[in-house]
Amino acid sequence: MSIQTVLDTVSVLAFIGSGFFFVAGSVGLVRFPDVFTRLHALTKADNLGLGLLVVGLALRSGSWTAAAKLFVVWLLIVFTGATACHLVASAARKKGIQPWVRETS
Amino acid sequence: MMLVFDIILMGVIVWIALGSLSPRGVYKSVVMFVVFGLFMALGWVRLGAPDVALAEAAIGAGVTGVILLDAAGHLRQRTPGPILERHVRRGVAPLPLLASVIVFFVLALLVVNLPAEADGLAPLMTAGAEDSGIKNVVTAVLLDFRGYDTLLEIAVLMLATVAVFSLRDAPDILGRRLAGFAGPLLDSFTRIVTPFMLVIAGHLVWIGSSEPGGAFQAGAVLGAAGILLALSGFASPRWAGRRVVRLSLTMGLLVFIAIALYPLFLGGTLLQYPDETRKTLILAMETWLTLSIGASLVSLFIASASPGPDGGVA
Repeated sequence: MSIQTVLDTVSVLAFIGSGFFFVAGSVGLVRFPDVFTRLHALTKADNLGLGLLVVGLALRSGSWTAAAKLFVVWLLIVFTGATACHLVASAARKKGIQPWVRETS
Repeated sequence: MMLVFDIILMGVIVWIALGSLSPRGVYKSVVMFVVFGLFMALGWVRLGAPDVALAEAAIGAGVTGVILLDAAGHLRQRTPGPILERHVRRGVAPLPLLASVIVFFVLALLVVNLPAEADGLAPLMTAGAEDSGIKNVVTAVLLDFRGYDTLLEIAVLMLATVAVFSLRDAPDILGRRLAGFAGPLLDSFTRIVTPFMLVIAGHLVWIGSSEPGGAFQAGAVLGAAGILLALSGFASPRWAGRRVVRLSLTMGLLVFIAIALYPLFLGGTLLQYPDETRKTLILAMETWLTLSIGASLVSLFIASASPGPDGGVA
């Protein structure tokens, strides 16, 4: 098995994993009950889904500089996602939105 | 495979455009408009126009989205209760609908009647771009072949900024605090990201002559950096009134006019740059334009941002 085959296989697995996290995040965004849980679903998709996508693309890019650029893109998105999530959540708290709790009978 | 993707993309773009028009409230329309901008950017990438995609994503979806969201917040503050009933008329207005349908069919007729296999101006552009030393055809078109259009565009942008400034009372703009969101996380985020944005803006200007990039994209990144600084409380809105900002607002147009006039002194015509200095002139122009576009986007935002209940932005 050549090294190229190994790289290809790993990158395809990374793409599949990334797809899973994006789909799960989108489903969570639609299905979850309130703004806080939705943010939780969304940021997982951004961090892990995009992270795995970047890993897969970096393995296929064939150059260190391209891989480094992809990594920086991911890092910026992670910073932005975390900050935006925090801002939305704190704005919701300030507005008086109560976190959802499971109703117990 | 790509055809399927393109067809789905086109469908999604039309669907989102309709969604942004549907009367479910101003806020939802604005969000749909931002999403529309992002999908349009994807469409431009598929058409092989990354320059336009960058500009669409940064200006169309990003900065315009921020300004529209702020306007929607302003509307909600002024008129409590559902915005829909107060500001959006239900039903379809017949006259605009008729106008849109006519424009659509005229455009469709033109596209259908285009000659099927003509190169158009493309060979001329490519040849001219090689002569001028500007390898990126889009930059060559914007600043060289169709310099007039860009010159007027910059003038319009500057006039718009001046108009927004004059609609507001000066003390109102300058005395306001925008730091409605300040907090430790946003602080450190701004500290990390702003230097990146400045480097990216510089990079976009520099590579604009050979690869996708240029004054508009770089200016949008610069403007976004300024808006981030204003929102996170690092830059006081007073800053927008400073002479430095007003000067950089006008310098783009002034430098553009000066460079446009320069060939006249050499015995040429307006905007007919001499070949040997063409690249230098265009790069100088792009640099000043970037500064101007960035300054006007920030000024437009700060001057039109509505003050929140505590003096911050709503």
